[in-house]
Amino acid sequence: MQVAIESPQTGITVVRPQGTLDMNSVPDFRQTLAAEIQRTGRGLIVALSEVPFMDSSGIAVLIEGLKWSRGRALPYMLTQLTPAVQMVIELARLEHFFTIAESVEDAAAQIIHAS
Amino acid sequence: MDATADRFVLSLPSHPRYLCVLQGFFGNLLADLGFSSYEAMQVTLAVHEACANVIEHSYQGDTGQRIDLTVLIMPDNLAVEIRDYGSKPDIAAIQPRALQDVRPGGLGTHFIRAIMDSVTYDVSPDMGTVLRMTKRRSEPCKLP
Repeated sequence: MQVAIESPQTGITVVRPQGTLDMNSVPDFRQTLAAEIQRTGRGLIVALSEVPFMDSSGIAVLIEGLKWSRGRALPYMLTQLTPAVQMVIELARLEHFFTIAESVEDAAAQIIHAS
Repeated sequence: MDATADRFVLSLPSHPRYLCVLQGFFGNLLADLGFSSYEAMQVTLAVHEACANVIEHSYQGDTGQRIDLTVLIMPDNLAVEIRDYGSKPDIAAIQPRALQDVRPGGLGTHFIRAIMDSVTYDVSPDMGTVLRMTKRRSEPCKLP
């Protein structure tokens, strides 16, 4: 799977998976997410606008990402949820477990405000 | 199974890379039959999770096996059978985990049960298991 890495502000990392997030692609994405959480300085944003389908493996790695971020006391935000991603998060009843921002800019502003 | 229903048969290798076929198959088929996009996404996810469970548990990651799907389209109902030839599950142990226990893993069975109206496991075949699932439609289906 392709994963774009962006940095809209110094110390803030945007991880943008591109494609289906499922048991086939999650092992690669998991490695990238773990590495970027270790690397980032102020916070991490997972932008999901290019994920047309996600399964329980996908939601599992997003949960892992939040726990890794908490381990470093870093803000961790999701944004740009597609309908398929939104559906899975709602089915898992995790809407209030994750911090979900309207946009990358909004997420970055929240991270800056929190730091 | 209903002999009057439109019937589709699909056979997949038990490799995770081929699960993407389900998105195209169910997405296009159910959209063409007038299912809502939300229903199509739900059913695709449930079938995907069931096939992922077959790969992970019945075949224990062996990618050289086969998963046979039979789909029946009826005016007010969709039925999917997923047949594998691997190890049989302990039916009593197939339980969705409590959602308040937030941790990775164990959500696939919850998704299947939350989405589908009926879910039954048939372990009577000599080899493997047949998972039967049905989903009622919110609007009658436009069969040809």
